[in-house]
Amino acid sequence: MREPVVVIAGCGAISAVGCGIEPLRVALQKNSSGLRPSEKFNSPRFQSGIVGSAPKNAAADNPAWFLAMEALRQACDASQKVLEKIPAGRTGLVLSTTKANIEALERISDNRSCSETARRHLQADRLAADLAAAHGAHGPVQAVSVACVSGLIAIQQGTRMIQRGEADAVLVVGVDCLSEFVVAGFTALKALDPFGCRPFDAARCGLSPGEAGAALVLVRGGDALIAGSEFRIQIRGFGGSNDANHLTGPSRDGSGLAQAVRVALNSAKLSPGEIDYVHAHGTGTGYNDAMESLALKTVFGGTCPPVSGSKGMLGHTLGAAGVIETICCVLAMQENFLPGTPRLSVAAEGTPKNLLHEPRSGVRLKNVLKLNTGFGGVNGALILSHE
Amino acid sequence: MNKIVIVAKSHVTEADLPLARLGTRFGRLDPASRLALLAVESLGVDFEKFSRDRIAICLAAKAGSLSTDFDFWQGRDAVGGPSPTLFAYTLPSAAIGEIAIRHRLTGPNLCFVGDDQQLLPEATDLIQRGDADSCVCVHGEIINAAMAEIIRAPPVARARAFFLTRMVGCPI
Repeated sequence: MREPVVVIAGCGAISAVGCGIEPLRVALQKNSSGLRPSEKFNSPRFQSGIVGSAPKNAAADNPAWFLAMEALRQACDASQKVLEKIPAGRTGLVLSTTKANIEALERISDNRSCSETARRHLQADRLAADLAAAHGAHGPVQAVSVACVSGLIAIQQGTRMIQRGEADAVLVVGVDCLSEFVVAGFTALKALDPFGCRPFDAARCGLSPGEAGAALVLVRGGDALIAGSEFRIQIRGFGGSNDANHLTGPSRDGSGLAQAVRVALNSAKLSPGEIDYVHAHGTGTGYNDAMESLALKTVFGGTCPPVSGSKGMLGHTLGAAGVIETICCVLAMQENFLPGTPRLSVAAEGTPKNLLHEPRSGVRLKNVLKLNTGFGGVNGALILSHE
Repeated sequence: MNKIVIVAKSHVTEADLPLARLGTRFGRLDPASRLALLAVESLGVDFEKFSRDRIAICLAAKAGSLSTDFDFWQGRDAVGGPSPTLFAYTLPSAAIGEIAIRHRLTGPNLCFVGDDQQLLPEATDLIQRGDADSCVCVHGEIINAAMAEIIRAPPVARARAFFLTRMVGCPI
C-alpha cells in the first residue's frame, strides 16, 4: 500500500534573528547575522562571547519551555484551519532537544531558585509530554535526542507517525537554549571561534553557540484534509548513518554523510541531479566543513548543486538546528530564492564550487537536501520537495 | 514480509561492570556508555556475519544523560575548566557512538529520552521499511544518587539490550 504524503502546514521560530517567521525570512534574504557579543559569556571562562541569543527573559528559570511554546504557538496559528479539522487524539508531538531545560541544573547546583516545572523539564520526555498537553495533542508523543541530528530525526519520526496511521498531524518542535553548561563544554573542547563562526571560510576556526525554538506542523497530505490549501512542500525522503569513527569528530573522508545522502535520495526516489539546493550543516569547525565538502563531492561529483548554510546567522542551535534550518529551506522554496552563507568571506579550499556567499533570487527550488551531523558520528539527510 | 524476531537479549547492572573485559578505552567511558556497551557485548552477537551498514542502533535513555550532566557540571570550577572528555558524554545518544565505534556499525540511529515503550516498535519499523536488516536496541536506565535527588526518582544503573533481525536469511 502506498504511504500517505506528508506536508508542512505551518512553521514557527524564535531565534537570534528575532521572534517569528518573518524576521527569519528577512534575515535569509538579506544574508544578515544574528550573532552578537554577549555580556553573560564575555568571561575568561569561555573561549568566545559571541553567540546567537534569542529574545527572551534572561532571568527565567525555564527558557526551553518558553522558546518551545512560542515556536509552537506560531506554527499552530499558521496551520489553524487544518489543525481544527483534526481530533486531539489524532495529533502527535515530537520534541527534538539535546539538553532540554539544562538551566535548571545550573540553578540547583548554584542554590538559586528553580521552580518545580523548570526542574521537571530537565527531562526531555517530561518537557515533551507537557508541550503536547498544552497544545491538546493527545496522540503519540516522543522526545528524540540524537545530538545535532535530532531535528532531522524528529521530522522523520513525525512523518512516520503519520505514514503509519498513528496520527493525522504531528507537531515537531526543536529547542535548545544558550547555557553556561553548553558554552563551557564547547570551550573545554576548544571548539568555539573567538570571532564568531565563519562556515566554509578559509579562516574558520570553530562554531558559535546559538539558541532557538523552532516548530513545524506536519499533516497528512493528498486528501481532503488540506484540500484548497497552499501547502505544497512535502517531506520526501530521509537517510541516516553513523561514521563509527570518533565520538566528537566527523570521519575525515565524508563517507558516512555520503551514505546518509544516498539513502535519502533512494528513499525519495530521486537522482543526485534532481537536487536543486543543499542546505549544509556548516558548523564552521575545520573538520566538519571539510568533511561535508568531501561528502558532497562524493555524491554529486563535479556537478554539486548550490550549497549554503545558516549557522553564521543563527549560531549552532543544537537540538533546534535541524528544525529551524529545515524552516530556512521551506522559506527558500516558498519565496523562490537561494539563501547565502552569512559571515563567509573567502571560501576555503575544497569547498563546493557552487557555495553561495550571497542570496540569489528568482530561483525555483523543487527538491532541497538538508544535512546535519553530530557527536557520536551520527549523520542525517532530509529531502523536501515542492509539489 | 519477513518476520522480525528478537534473536538475542541481555540485561546488565552496575555490579557486572567490574567483571567486564572490554579494553582500556572502556574504563574512560561514562557509566551510561559502559553499561550500554556491556549489554551489547553480552548479546553474544557476531556482527561480522552481517553487513554493518545495514545494522541500526536504537537507544532509549530513561533520564537522558542527566547523571553525566551532573558530573560534568560539578567540574565547572576546576582549574582548567570542566572535563572535555566528559562533555562528549553529556548527550543522551552518546552510547550510540560508542557502540557504533566498537562494532563498526554504520547503519541509521535513533535515540529517545524516556522509557522503553517505543524502542522495539520503532526498531521493528526501521527494519520493516528497509532502512536496516537488523537493529541493536538498548534501554539504559542510569540515575545516580545526586541526580535521583534532583529529579525525585529512585537511583538505578542497569541496561537491557536486544538484537532484532529478519527471520529469513538470518546468519546466526
